[in-house]
Amino acid sequence: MTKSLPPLHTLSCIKPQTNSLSLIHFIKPKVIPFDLIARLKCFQCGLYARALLCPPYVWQTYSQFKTYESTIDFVSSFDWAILLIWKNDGTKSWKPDPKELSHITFKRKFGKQLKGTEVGMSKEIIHLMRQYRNNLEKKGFECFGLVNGHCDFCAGKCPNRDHPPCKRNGMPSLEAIGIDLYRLLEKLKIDYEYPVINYLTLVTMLLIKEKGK
Amino acid sequence: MNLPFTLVKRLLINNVSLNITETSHCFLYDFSGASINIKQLKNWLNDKIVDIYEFTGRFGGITKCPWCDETSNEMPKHIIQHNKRYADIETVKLSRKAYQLLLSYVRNNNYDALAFYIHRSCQYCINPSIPGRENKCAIPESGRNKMRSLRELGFKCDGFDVSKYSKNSVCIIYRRRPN
Repeated sequence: MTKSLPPLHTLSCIKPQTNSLSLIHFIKPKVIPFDLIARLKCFQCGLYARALLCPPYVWQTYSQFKTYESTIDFVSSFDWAILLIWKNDGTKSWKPDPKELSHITFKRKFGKQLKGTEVGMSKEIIHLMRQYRNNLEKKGFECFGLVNGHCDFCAGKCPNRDHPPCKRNGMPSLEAIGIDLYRLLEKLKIDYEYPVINYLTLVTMLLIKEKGK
Repeated sequence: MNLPFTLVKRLLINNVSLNITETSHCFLYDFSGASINIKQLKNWLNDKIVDIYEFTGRFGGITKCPWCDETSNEMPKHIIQHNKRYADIETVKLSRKAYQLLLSYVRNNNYDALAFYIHRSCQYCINPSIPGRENKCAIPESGRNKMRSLRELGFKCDGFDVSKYSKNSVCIIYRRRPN
């Protein structure tokens, strides 16, 4: 496998178990735009200085994100970034097992109504991302996962909340490490809506490189 | 939506200088918390656009204390116990209105827009540094309409004179750089 070709066999590790996973993009980590605004906006979030994998506590778990420069160096050290785009207009189930939510009739939602879909999807996405990361690591890749919003692996009951660092391999968000996500989507010509009116777009990322590189 | 603000001036930010006052203990001014240094912040601010707005609405009355939620018909007397002045109530109200203004920018493709006071400074907390919440906001809730103050940042740039604007001025700093 040459380094210039994306490792397509990794796709077998990322089974689109939910129909809300709409797109998978392979990009070079150098394409990823970083901007100060991502971290400046963190100040405006209620999870700033509260969540373990949000600034400023994220550096206690992942010291590579301590500075802007070290973040860029870390991201650039990977061969590929797999961008996963999850879209939902309220009609798609986010559970891998469709039977789990079979009692729910998924209706089309608009605007603020999609907030519930976002919460449900995010909870599931973090588990799927962890699964994908483990699958990739079994295939011989070194992998680092980034999620949308904030890490919710412990479902709001983070056991190390008062005792950082995180000991459960949680994943920080793309914005927490300074990625300008809107710009990235525009660069890749991926449709998204902000403010959300008709459909929700969530983005996660897996940084991969072959082990030992 | 009609917002009670009038655009006074639009400036392109050039030659920024910042002088953050050491006395400011608020987390909003502790950029090191987000691993941002002043040089990076200055670089980020350069070439942005600043829209300066004058608040033209009325603040109106208030019966519920913004700091302890107590209802009182004599709010100016009540807030003395919090070491606050009536102007501080106006500041809280101004920040709520300015948040609506900010949203109008963010929803129109300026997702990087940030709102700032020109003269006033955030008055949401009674005491910005309380035990157990060092380097955090004293109020453990979303900081969406907690705005920084250009005066406290010691913000200066070409063509920007703080003294020209009234105490009820706010500004929005925005501009997306091309891809």
